[in-house]
Amino acid sequence: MSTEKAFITGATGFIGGRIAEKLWIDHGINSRCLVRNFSNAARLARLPVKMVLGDVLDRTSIEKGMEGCDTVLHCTYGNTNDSNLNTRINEEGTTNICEIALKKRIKKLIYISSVAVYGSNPPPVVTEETPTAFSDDKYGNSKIRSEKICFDFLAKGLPIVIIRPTIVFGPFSPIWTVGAIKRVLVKGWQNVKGMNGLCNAVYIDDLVDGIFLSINIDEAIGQIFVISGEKPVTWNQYFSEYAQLTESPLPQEISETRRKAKAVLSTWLRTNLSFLRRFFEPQLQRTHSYLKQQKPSLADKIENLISGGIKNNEVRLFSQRTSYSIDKSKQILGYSPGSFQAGMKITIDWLRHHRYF
Amino acid sequence: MLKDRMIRFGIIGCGAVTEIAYLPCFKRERSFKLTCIVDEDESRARSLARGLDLYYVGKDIEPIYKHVDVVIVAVPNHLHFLIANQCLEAGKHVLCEKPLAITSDECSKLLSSAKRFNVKLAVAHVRRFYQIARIIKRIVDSRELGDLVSFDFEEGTIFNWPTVTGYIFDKAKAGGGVLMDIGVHVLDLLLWWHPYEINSVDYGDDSLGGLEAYAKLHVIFSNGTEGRVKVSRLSALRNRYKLIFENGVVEVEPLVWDPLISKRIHVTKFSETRKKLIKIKKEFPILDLLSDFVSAVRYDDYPLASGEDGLKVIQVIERCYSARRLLPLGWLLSTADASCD
Repeated sequence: MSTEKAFITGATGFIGGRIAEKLWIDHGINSRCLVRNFSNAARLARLPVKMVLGDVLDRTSIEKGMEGCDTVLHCTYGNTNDSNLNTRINEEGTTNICEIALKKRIKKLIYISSVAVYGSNPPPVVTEETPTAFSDDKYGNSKIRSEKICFDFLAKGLPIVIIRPTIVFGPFSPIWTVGAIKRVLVKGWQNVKGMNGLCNAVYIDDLVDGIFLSINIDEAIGQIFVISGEKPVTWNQYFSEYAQLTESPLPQEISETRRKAKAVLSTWLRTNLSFLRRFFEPQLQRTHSYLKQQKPSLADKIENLISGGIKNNEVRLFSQRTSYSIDKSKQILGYSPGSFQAGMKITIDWLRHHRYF
Repeated sequence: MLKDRMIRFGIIGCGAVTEIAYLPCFKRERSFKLTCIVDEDESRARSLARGLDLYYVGKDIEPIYKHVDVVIVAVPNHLHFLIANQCLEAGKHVLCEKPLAITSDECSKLLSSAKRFNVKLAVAHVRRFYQIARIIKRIVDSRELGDLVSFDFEEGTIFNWPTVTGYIFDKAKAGGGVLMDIGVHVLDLLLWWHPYEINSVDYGDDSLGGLEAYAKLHVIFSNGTEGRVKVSRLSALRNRYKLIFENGVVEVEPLVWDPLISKRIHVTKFSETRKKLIKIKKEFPILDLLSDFVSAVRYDDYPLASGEDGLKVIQVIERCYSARRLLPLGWLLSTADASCD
């Protein structure tokens, strides 16, 4: 491994946390991690890493954290409820990281971006050459701007690699694993007629292996790499893997009209429920607990109604037939992901162990 | 005589536990009072002291001695011994946050100091004051279901304690991970409910050189009772306390993350078909902990959770750590084998 000490931002998160773990477990490399809130650090603290309290908007903490490091893995992104703050974290934060990395003559900076940069209507086959596109997705737009900042610093001499992961699943994945199992538990996934989109899933360890390859290979500097699994599965296949673990098998195929009707009803229910929760939170929780214990099937029906299945703003994602090519990553990095089933098997073991079902 | 007057408390350490657990009790209770708050971060001490009528707020310990009868030691774990010992030697009764100290040597020294200076030493094993814990203790002691045969305790939640300093993730300061944290509570209850010698401990966790976030132990007592304990900071486990007796089962119903704050406990007698459901009313365990210690100090009695109890737990934890093995967690070690349940 061509790094002796790495500085990781976002190390209390899903991807950054696994990077820190695999650096230590597979390569014996001890990293320094920027930690914004110790309350999220239980997973990271299992490693003998140095945690530096601070965040990407605090230049002093970055300077301190980057001290003595030769590689930077920048995984932080803004996921607060404040969209302005998120933009600052993504853009001003990336600027801070790049400026200080340049000053400290860091050997390589890996920026974890996203395929969200391709916008909401990507073509059937996406490669690194496919143009990025602004859309109504703030996250994707912010990633485009952050990548632009990275390229500006590349021009100034900072050796940067940009990684664009697809749908990352595996242990601790908040959206695509924990979110997925929770979703199927409340029957939140629906088999909608005609909705047969592709899920470009990548197992977290495959992604991290790809990132490590990009650290090792000099040719990677200044390049973008899409990191996905060997081949996509359908979203129905993806959610079926989780549904099989639960007592909530996938529902019968339903029409788009019926999905829409349920989505409208659930939106109405959620809006009213959030109003009621302001005044009756304890009572609602007690009622929910009572129903779960005494009338589980009724509780399931209510949860199902509230969750409402696939929301209107998700239809586009779950209908897309886009494949993300990993040819460039294979060719230049020697990237070679494991099978979807292998990653899913470990994920299922993890879910079982952590009592998610 | 303490018996006749208001017991005065001082708190050393202004972390989250002081703010969330102790201060609300003093605002609520009138039979004892808080007179001093100390923290090395004086501004933090002052911010917590806002609105309270205190004799001393600052960063030094000595000035509080003349104003207090009892000191609550709520500093990071590695300082428990140093500060608690200093207060005991000053002739002050000490209620120490858990763990009592991070080694059994330190715990033993604290016990000696308390004896030498004729003061009380208690440890905040607050779970003993939960009604469910007391009900289980009563069932065990009364033998109404016969002897305890086995047990299965699982307690876990995604860590979200609003740690102020983050010391809890510093190995040198915390002394251990989840076992030294939630594990202290769980082991204390086990040893309280079932006060037998432990014959053997099989222990594994997920530490890779840092602090374990998941720990699993199998314990066999000298009378043959055996069972397992799992604790986690990474996920909500079953959050269940199950005790199997000769003639019945006691099971705490998991309604919230902390199973002992649950509102229900099921008692099943094998000879009867129906479960007996005991509902728990609102409770204030921290306040009960303080009241119990006040009573012990005032009437020269034993506190419910004494220094000796603190020592026993640390002795078990030391046995666990010395027998430690890395659990074969496939998702952590990137191996296909994930046979750890």
